[in-house]
Amino acid sequence: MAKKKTMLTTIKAIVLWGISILVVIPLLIILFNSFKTQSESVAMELSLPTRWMFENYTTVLEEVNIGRAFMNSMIVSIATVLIATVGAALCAFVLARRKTKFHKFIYMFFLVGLVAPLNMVPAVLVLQKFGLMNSLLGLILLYSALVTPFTIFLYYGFINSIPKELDEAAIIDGCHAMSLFWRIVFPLLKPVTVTVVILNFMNAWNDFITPFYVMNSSDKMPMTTMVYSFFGQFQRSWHYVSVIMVMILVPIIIVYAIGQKYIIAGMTAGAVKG
Amino acid sequence: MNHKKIYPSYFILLPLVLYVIFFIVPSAMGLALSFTDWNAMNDEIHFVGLSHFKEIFANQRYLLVILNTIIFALATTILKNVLGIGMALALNKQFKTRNFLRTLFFFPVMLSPLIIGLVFKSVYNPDTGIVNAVLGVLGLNGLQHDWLGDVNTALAAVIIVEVWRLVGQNMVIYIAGLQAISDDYLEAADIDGATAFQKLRYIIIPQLRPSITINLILNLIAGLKVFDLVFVLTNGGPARATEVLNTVIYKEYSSGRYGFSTALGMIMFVFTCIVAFSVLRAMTKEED
Repeated sequence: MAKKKTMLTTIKAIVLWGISILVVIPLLIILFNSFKTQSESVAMELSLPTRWMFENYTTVLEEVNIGRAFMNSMIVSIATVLIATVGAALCAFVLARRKTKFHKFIYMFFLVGLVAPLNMVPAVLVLQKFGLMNSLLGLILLYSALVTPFTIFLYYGFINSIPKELDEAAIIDGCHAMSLFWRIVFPLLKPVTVTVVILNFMNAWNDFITPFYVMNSSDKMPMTTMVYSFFGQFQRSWHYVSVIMVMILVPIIIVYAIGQKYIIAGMTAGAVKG
Repeated sequence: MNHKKIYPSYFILLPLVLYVIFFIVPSAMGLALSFTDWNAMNDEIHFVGLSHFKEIFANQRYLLVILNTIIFALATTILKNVLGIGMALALNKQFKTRNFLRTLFFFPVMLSPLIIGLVFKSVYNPDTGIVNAVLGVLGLNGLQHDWLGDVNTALAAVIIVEVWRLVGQNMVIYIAGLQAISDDYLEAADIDGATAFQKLRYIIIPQLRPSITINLILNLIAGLKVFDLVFVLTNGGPARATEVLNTVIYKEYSSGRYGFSTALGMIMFVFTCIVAFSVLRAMTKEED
């Protein structure tokens, strides 16, 4: 019995380490190739560079307009996080507290957006009507709208677990609606806030479909679209493509390292209750 | 306590306005425009009734696309769930590297599908890719293959990448589900002499129902909506073997057939809603 158990544990360990290798290999391919010479990187193989070309990074920074693209991505992602998070937190607070027929309907109305896909072509038309084509603002507003349902969904569930008596006590102590929310309720929402900030940042940062539909000038392009068009032009420059991919990955890795506990908690929220 | 005053309705306004303008309005317009011949060439828009839908459902080309999308959604859902439960069970017990492995396995979820697509394109490369290299080392040269270039393997190859990308998400949801199962049940089963399989079949799986429901819905929706990964890996090829709804929508849009493109978008909208709603109904009904 004990012997069988240790064998099972060994098999399990082997399988788990096997999966780990599968996860890590593609990342190592990117990292190694970003330090290779052009001719060595053509094959995009998993092997250490024979000579470490650290200057690949400086070359990309100088030659390609990557700083601009990086800023575009940062502006869009951070603005989306701010608008979506603040808006959804306030909205979910009122929806969760009032629960009249009307407020319940609005909540359900938002949940449609959790399931249904956006019809991209008319969305482009809407952006055109507002003169928001080819602009960072258009991208920000569109992303904010798209992540709102999930953000409200997470906040709504969490706010329900905070007793209403707290609000009443605060009001008696002289709080107004705004100060009640920001000073009393919002600090309690910290775990969800961290989760949605990270997830919304990640969604905006990683997306590359939307810019494809709505962006056509290169100085407005985010990193993802940039790397794709760069890849299209220089199919054989995998070393530079890899450098840009590393630049896309680094902020995500930092964000993940800081907040992975909260991300996983957020992803699983609601999953247990159903 | 005056609810209107401490929970003012204007708090709802900003997200609601954004959501209506950029999600509800395009959806409603999509419905209207899918009955028109709106395109890049003519200035006027004419009502054409159901003709786009007739064209889609009478044409094998588009039926194949719908079939591909369904195969993709079903295959990825099944694989991600089965592997996700397996990984969650393996990581459920406390051991030294557990948290590290969980963090690592979840990491691909955070990555841009674009990057994943570009890397796996080279992983699958018939001449230089690591897949064929590993097969060569194992002496399985006969199995070496142009994975993305062959009509018979392309869709499966894309499905595997999608599973690689999102299996971690399923895993963490199952881990959370497993941790909610009370040890009492499992101890009682041990006392009654239940085998590991019996415990899985009669205790763990039924108790995981809420996690299974959420995973089924999330994966089916993601599968039906798939775009970036296919776009980067194969762009629908070879010979339309991996063409899915969203890649066709983009192609029709780029070729200027806007009305037709929105009709396809409408089909995907209805499809996704029906699937999500029926899974939810089926899974919550059995519970009672």
